[in-house]
Amino acid sequence: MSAPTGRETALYLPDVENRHQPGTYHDLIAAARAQGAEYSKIWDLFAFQQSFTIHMGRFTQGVLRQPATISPALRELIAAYTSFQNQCAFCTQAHVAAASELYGDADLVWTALRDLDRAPLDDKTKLLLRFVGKMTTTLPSTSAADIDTLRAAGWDDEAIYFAITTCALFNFYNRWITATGVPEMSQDAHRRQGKALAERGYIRD
Amino acid sequence: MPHIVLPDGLPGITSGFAFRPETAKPMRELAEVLLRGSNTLTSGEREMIAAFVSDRNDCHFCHASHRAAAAHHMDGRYETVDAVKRDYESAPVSPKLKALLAIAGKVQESGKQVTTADVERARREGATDREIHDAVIIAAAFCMFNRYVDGLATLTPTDEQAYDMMGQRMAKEGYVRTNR
Repeated sequence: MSAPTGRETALYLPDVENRHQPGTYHDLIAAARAQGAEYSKIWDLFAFQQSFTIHMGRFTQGVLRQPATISPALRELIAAYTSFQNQCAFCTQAHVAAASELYGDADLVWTALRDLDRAPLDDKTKLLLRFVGKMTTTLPSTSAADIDTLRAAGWDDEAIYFAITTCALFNFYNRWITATGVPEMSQDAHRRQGKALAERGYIRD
Repeated sequence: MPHIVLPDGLPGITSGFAFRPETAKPMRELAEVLLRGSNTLTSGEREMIAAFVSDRNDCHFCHASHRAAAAHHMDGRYETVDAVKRDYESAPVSPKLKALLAIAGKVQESGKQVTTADVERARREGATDREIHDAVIIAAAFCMFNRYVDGLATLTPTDEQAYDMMGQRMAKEGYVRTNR
């Protein structure tokens, strides 16, 4: 499958996407192009304004990977779930791939997104996913009763904090990515990227 | 009342920051770069986009604090910030900023809402690709900050004077401070 080249989106910003500052992402893009390999077009955005994206990368790494009472696998599932609700195709594929890698089960991840009731996950996890679903679609949305319900189900404050922060972060990414029109990659490329994200995380240097 | 046990006595988003300082540092740096970093859009313009999006997300803390920061960047002109909130098309701001606010308003709903016509309008009014991109990332970032604050239900001051002082500090000292 060949790499998508054009943009079908309204917001195509050639001065942003073609102006890479020197650095890690510039080098990654150059290497991919030299090999004729498909690469994630989010790299174009990361290469453009590094004063901003360097913090974004660190923040993403912290939110999704810092040791906490909620697993990186579930945080990736929250990222995928939020992205699916916001209809961000690229982020959905990217984080489904990472979550599938960490759970070792792609069917579980897709079922959680498409039909949560039927997903082979415990009730506690479904409750947390429904909670972040509400946060994504409606603001203001969180009540003390929501948190009490999560705590009663066995989530501690640290897990709730990371669930909220992950959902909030993907409400950023989904808008950035859909507005600038970063396209989905092939399934193969997403699988490779998912493996890399599961193994190496989000800091590229 | 905050929903999870947050350190006492810190207003709004700062109490969430204090809960996990490791995630707070990059969040503060993001705000600093987006709102006060070197840019062809003024900090007042960028803070107005932040306040506008926060209002549409019904996030009182973010709206009130960034409204005050915007005003402090513009000689205390709260009336300009409030006019943008009421109806940016008739507000006393540049045609370029109106076009960027139109894009920010779409992004607040979904990045997919932005149309070619919106982008063409912004370019016609003199916006560069970088400025259009900045409007997108500020709007998107506040869809994140607003949910962070809402989800944690951080302490929300009701005293308007508190927001004025907070906005003054945000405008003058910025977001990366050592004492908070």
